Amino acid sequence: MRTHALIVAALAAFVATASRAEGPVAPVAPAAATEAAPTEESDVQAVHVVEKRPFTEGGRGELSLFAPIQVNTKFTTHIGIALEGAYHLRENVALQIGAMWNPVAQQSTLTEELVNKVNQQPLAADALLLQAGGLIGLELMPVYGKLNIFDGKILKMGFYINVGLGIAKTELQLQSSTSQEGRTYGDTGIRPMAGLGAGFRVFLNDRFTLRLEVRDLVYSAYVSTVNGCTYTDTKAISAQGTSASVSSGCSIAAFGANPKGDAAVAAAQIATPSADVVNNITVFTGLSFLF
Amino acid sequence: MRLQSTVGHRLPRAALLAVLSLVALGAGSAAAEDVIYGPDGAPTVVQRKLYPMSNRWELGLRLQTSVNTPLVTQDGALLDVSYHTNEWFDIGGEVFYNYTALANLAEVIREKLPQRNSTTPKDEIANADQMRFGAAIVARIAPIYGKLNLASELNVHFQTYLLLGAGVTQLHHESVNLCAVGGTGACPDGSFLTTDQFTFVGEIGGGFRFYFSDHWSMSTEVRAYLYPAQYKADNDLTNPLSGVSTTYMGSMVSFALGFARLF
Repeated sequence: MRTHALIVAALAAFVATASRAEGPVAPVAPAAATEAAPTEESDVQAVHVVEKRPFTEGGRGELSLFAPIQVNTKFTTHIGIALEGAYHLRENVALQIGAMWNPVAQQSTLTEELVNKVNQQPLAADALLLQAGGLIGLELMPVYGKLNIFDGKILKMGFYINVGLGIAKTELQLQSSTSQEGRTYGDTGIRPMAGLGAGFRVFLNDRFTLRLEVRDLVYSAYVSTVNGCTYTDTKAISAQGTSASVSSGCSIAAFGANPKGDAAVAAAQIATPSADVVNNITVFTGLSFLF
Repeated sequence: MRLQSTVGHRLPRAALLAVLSLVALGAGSAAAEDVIYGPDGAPTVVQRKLYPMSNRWELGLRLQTSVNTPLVTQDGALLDVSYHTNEWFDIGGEVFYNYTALANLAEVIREKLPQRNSTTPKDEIANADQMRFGAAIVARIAPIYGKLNLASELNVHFQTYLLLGAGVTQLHHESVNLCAVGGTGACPDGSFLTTDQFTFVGEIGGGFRFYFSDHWSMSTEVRAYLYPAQYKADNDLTNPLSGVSTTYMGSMVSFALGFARLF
């Protein structure tokens, strides 16, 4: 009899605790929510209760604005802006489409030092700049958590990973910042790009989230033409300027105010076509709006 | 009558136990936490930290590697002792040692150095300092404490922190492009300009601490060491005594990973 009474009590307690944990207004007792009362026979059972989240992303859209900054600035430096749209199929799965533009895409300080101090420069493929790009991908958010700030405000958070495929618009810097014309660039075309990222999403409320993400942007870098011009074309332009006879697709006007000088640099860069896979590791910091 | 009597005693007793259990649970949870209502109107709970830090000493050992010095490799270890005055602040001292060397890129640059001449002055390539060892006083502030659910039954408690420090370090400088031997010929191996000096270093960074238990935790952090560095400008490459020393703020950004023991 006594055992039955204890079981009934334990069940009642459990049901009451579980209903409080999942209910819309009652707080959750961490200890009580995760353990059921043991029976007298020590048949201890750990009973876990799923705490209902105050809101969900499932079935909602998300618009994010980022400020991406490259962190592996060996030969290149990138700072930009990115916009990403996502649709959360479930709480932890989302489809993403995003685009980024780097108004600052230039050679690093080291690259310019090499040019100015020892007359050297990296291979064109290693110094290929990411002017803009777009990715379509998938996000998984397998880890949820919560945090509090100075023992006060409590915020929900999630850890996510994402993968994406897309395209990258690339360019090559032809003149350094210390040249007479300042930095000049040559178009090197569109390349396939992939992205692999991991980051945190901190929910400020049911509408806004802060995001911090590290993403490896991988794009192919095979450089054999600049502004559509082959090595032969660039040599001709560097010798004859705008009057040079070039192949179709080569844009002399794209070399700007100093076609001879820029084409000479381009010729030196593509004299031996170079190929590489560039890893542009970028930190994305941003704000998202859920709707 | 007997049956009625039995039933009449059994049900109230079970109900009484259930009520007592509920009261006990309610009282326990009420004592453990306060209710905070979020901006969405949903309640959330302030839980006490599973791993308190106040008034405890900490001994930590981390391995670190430089991530922003393409001309130099710097890999080392960091040993620190600190005291946590409360849950979110600690201060202590640390020593570090790095194994340093010129990176492969610097060697490639040296192999392709142009012919030395005295007609065109050249600057020395900067950011080639090697931070070999040092000591500093470091304070950390940890405003965020959180919990992650890696799996249904595995919770990981963590803390984020920012750090600020100041100390002294020994810098070894081996020039990538300036030779210590005069002349126009190629610089002999091991004859590039070198200097060693002690200098002030400031530290700023941030990281995560993941708790394994009440005593052990793992931390990962990114920190920048900032120091006054120098390179020589306007050098006559044939004369190692030429050039003007120019000061700039050097930096070594490191990624560190290690463990700590709390006492």
